[in-house]
Amino acid sequence: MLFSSAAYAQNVDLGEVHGNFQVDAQYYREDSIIGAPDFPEDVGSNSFLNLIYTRGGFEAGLRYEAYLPTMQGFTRESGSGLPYRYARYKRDRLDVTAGTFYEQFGSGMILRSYEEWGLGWDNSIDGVRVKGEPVRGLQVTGLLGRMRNAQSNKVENLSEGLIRGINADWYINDSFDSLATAKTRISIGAGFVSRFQADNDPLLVIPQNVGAFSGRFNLSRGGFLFSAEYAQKINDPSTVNNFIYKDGNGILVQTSYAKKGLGVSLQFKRIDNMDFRGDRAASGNDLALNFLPPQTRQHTYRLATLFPWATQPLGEWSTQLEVLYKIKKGTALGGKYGTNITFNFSRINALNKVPTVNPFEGYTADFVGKMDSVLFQDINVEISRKFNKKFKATLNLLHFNYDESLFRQLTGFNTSEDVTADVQILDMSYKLKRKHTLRLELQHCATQQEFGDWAMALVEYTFAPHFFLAVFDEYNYGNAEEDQRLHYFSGTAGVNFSNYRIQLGYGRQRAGVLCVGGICRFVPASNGVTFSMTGTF
Amino acid sequence: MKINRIFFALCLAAGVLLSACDIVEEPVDPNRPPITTGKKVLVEDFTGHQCGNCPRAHETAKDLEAAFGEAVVVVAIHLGNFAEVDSAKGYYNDFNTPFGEAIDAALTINDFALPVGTVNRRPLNGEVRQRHANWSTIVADILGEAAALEINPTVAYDQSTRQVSVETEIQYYETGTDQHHVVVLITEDSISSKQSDYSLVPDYIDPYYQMHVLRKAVTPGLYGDALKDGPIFVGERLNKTFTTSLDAAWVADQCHVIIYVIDRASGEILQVEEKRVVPQ
Repeated sequence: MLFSSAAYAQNVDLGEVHGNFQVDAQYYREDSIIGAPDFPEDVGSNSFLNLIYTRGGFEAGLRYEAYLPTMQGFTRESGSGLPYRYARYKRDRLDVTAGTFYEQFGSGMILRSYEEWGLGWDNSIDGVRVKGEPVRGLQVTGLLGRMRNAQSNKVENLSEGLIRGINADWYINDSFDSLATAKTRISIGAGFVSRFQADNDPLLVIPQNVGAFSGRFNLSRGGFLFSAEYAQKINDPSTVNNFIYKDGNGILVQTSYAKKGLGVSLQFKRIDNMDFRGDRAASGNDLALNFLPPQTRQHTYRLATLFPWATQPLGEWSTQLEVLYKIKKGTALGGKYGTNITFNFSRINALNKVPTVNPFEGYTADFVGKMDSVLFQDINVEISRKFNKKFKATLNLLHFNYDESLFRQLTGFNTSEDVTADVQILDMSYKLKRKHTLRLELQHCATQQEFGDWAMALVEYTFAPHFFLAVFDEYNYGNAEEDQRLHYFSGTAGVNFSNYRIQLGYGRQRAGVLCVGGICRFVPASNGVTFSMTGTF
Repeated sequence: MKINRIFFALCLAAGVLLSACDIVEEPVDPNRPPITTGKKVLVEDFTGHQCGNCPRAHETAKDLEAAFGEAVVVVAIHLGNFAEVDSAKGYYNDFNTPFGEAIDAALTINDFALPVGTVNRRPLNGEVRQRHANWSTIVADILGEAAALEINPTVAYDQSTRQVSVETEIQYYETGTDQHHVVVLITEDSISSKQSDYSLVPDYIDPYYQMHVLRKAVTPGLYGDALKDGPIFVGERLNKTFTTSLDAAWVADQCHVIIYVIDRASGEILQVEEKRVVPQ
């Protein structure tokens, strides 16, 4: 929307207003068979509207959120409010924000404030932020504020802890003309975050100022990339770590190499007592101050999402290897268009923790993880091939190992032993005619454990980009409890027009866990109609 | 431009922030004041439905609850001859429990004749078993003392399986030993039953609403589970989880969970907490 229209004789620039909105609603029906509870209001809805006004270097924005009442599976309180509003001014190399903002230092191990609507996640900071580039290539950020509470839909209810942070990233090549076009690009960075929260404990001496710092290094040359970050947090006794005074630390190393037809990436992470929040009493998904990047493949196919992994901030040792290879087109194996193969391996081990005699020291842990027991392992191969102009197919073969207690905790499914599962997914799409595509997904999950085997089929018709219709059924045919061998039928249709998208669905949804970026929320079983509308302007 | 000034300001801010780290060497301040609130006391009322003097002790327990509120937790442990079932006389209910038998054997309660009770199993004049007339004296003494620990339980009840889950955090204000044990009991209120009462003619009340009736011990034996295999530090938090199920005949809305910590070395109960199975 442009205010600087020709209707104004003097052509006065009044700035522009842009925004976007989303309305999600669900009509709930009680379904005792799948454990979908009664929802007294019948309909729940989560909605937001973002409005952003810009004029020159000035920008102001707000977000209205309404939870009337809050949909199942979200912790936000019902009601409405303006939890997000800010004014921002950018000029030359200075960028000042007053109000609500999102920020990340490095990979996020000491600070990451972001929003993820589908998770009901928003740990925005309300306060003041200044960004500057005092010399070319050196970006400095300082901030002060309090964090949004996961339950709150208002700006007033912020974290008890006051967050102060400063970060600098130096992109060395940008600082020197002689290096500007160099093939090797290097950046280094460091950040510091401190939380102040008063000590009201009648017994313990609680550190009121808890500081965490991180240092990072990035190097790239051609297709080669290397990055490493180390973070350390001083004593931070909290509800989550059971009030131990042990320092926390995290190491993240990532390296990758890519050239035409081949990509290899190797990642390693060690996390030890790095749960860091805007309030030492917070738990769950509330007031997380930092983000520990996941190193497992993020699956989107339904049956593969039965096995999500959430980063364990109290301790984990993880490795991930991914290889992408394209078999050349025109070869016997590659076919006419070539064949893409992705191999992915990820494994999470616990740390070998030995409790100390003094409980406040918590434990000692070797640097190397507890390699003889696996918390989570995912080995998967994806082969994708286009057979002709009309037909293409993708085959996924996945093998999961999952620790028993974490599986119960992170997925909500019952098991009395460690889980081993094999998942096969075949995704075929056929172009009926221009813009009209028919897609068929066949999925199967085989496991010996109690929650049992699953099969799924999905048929989707798309008239790009205006319309789609999909129906699918998930069938838990191998559940150990015969009365739980249920079908979960679902149908979804959507239309896109202009800048809007409307989606309508009906069916049963199994209870499960939705994870984005290693952060998960529980999605309870439901039966009913879903509606979603999004738009931008 | 004023970029240099901005840079200077940011550096200054960094300096201030870098000092914002409180490294705590000694988590517990040795000069801290004692915790003088939160002490609770357990009154064990040993009783039986055929015991004609026992309603007097029930009344004393009720008076203590009225006087001290939630600081007094009562459990009525039916045991011995007076707790026997006698259908011919109308005493149909069997309130006996293995826990009751164990405490009877350990403290020889029945030899002392009911009604009798203990208050935190603390002796008065060398005797743990006390007549109800003395209970208030011991209760008042104990409630004036500093609490050695705090029990913070969270109770969840699943209506479909009748399963009760108790997650409890126990925080120590004083040091503890490996002799500290935790005991978890289930009690039920308002059970309609016949009760002998010698003060009445005829000498019984029917229906009589039995309160705080011990239904079962969730933890094993008389002394439950050891809290820790080793010394317990001041400020230490110990987490324990217990699960049990309610019998079909028990009314969940009338049931409570009692959690207490006892020092096996001295035999004394150090702290107690009570929660409803179904929150109201």
